[in-house]
Amino acid sequence: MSERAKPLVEVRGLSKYYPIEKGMFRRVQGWLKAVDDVSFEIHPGETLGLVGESGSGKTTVGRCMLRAVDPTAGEVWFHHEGQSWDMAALSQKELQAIRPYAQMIFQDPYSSLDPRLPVFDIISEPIRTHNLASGTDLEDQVKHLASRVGLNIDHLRRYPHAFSGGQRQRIGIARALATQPRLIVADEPVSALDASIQAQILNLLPELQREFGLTFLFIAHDLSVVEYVSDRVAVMYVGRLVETASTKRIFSMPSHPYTEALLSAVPKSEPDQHKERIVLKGETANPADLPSGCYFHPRCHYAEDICRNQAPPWVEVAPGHHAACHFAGELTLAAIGSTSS
Amino acid sequence: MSPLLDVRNLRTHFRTSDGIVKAVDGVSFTVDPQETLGLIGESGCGKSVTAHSIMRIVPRPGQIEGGEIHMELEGETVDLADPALSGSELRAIRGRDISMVFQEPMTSLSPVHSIGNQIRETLFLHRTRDRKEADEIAVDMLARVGIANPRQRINEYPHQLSGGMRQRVMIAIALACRPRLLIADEPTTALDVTVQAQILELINDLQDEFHMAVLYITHDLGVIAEVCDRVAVMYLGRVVEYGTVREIFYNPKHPYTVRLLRSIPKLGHTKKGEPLAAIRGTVPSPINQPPLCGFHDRCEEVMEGVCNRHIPALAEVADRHQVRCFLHSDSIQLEDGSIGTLERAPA
Repeated sequence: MSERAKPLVEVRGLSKYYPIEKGMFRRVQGWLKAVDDVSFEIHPGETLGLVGESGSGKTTVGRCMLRAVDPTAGEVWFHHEGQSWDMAALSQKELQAIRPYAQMIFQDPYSSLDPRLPVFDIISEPIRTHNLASGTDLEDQVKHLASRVGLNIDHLRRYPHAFSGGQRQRIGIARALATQPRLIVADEPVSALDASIQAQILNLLPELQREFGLTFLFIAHDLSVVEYVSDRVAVMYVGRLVETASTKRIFSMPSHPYTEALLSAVPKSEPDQHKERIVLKGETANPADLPSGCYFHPRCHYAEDICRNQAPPWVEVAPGHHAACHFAGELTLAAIGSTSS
Repeated sequence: MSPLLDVRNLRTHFRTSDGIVKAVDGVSFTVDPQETLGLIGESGCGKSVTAHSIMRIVPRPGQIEGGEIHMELEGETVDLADPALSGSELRAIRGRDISMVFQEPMTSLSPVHSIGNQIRETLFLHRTRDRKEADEIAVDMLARVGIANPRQRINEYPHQLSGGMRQRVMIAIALACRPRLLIADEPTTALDVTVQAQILELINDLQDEFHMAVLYITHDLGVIAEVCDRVAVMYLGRVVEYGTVREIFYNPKHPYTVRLLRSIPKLGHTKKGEPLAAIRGTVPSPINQPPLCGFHDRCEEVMEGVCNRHIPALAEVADRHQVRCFLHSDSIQLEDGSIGTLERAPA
């Protein structure tokens, strides 16, 4: 990929540690490294898929980017219309001015909507909070958003409980779009939905992306969904990035053994598909008690002494393809066979 | 070979203050010895209620309204749906001949009893009264399901284990008495994909070792492709398609199955930006469903005056392949469960 314009978001050395307290005086015994020195960028109009298993820190990355939680260290640069802000350093007051540009879609369409507000109020709340419109203008905007995401505009006076899971997720999407954001952090937006409804939302998101010029950080654990929506993919393992590359590249030529294992663990999509399965030994490392060297070494089939003693460097395997592995580029790893050509 | 489990026209209904929910409405299937039958469908289709009916653990106000559940037990056949079956007779079968693994390994284990205690409980009920022997079996089972240091783990409590480990313990409890049928209700849905791969492999290995049949309930087509011999696709309380896993994946007939298969992105196969075949609308409310094809208002090939008038019957379309759809047969399921023939208006 050639030199592109400035990224929309640049994350540099982002970390979030939580104190582990013990005893009567809640003395800090150690730190749980939920996110540890994560760096990446997202270009305008792009979808970056962030994958990892539960506890890998992917949700925390998304929340730190929007300052829903305060990061322990690092920078989150947001570039827009010639201006740049470090989201991690802004005061709450300064943040208010940026918030309309960066919004979030949540996983659970049941708990992320206020049950006591009619849908009209839910969708219009961000517009009113930021004083972007009022009166009939507000009403028109909400109706436009609602119909664009596929809601019946005659139902806007109803409350969330009257809607199905898929409809509620549409409400959440309309709310996220209300302030005309540039960036949307979508945290597992389809994983609570049934297959047929999931497809409706997966078809809707790219349409909206084109129409509204959106940039997505798409957090998910389902690799087939991530492959389907993402331009580039970043893989996390216990708080750290282990690999980033274009979607095509990471699925066809993974460079980190963890990515290889993750790909091989996905159930086959049809009965006759031939699949080489690498079943990982043991369990994900405990982020409160991390192994030495490379965090993945106790489960890695290719681990050698250096992996136990030294943290791996962040190696550029190919242009735009990075992996945190001592043997990145040297191992021959199994990929997803794109058999249907 | 006679089937191990033979479910015939099972009807489990919930009489609520808002009306009748026919959660399971005329479901029939069989499970052969040592085979894996997958029961797939979206939330609310009745797959879990079917499993609960077989175990006779349907919560109130749910009730088995009709049908038979024949289970082969050492030469004799017991009808598990028979309301005359006593509690003690049921308890003698549950855990010994049929066991169940649930979705939530967090909530299905007792938090106040040690792991060993919970495995011994089933053993004391069915296999042995001897504490020492029970301990030996428990340690052996934990080792078989892949738990390291079983002798030490046996004294630990569920909160000390990870989700994957708890699910292994659940499987150890379920298989401690070597049942002939294991009902696995979404056993890997709450787990990460690498842990899911471990558990699927474990169930598969133990199935071979213990020669048991598995009724596998899931909403995940990938898991079905991975583990099942035959599949029953459920929609709104009925089986709409039933056949071998290859027939269902490579020769699907019911419009719901066809769309469902095309609605999920496939790793390495689905191109970005290529629209997925979403199914329009949502599953209708199950309360007071009128007697017609439950899928008709979401179906792209709906025939007005036919699909919205009658319930299609499950009919054979190929060897070991049945479909409940008027596109493929003229059989009607009548109110009393018998089969009629559709009279089509001349074209």
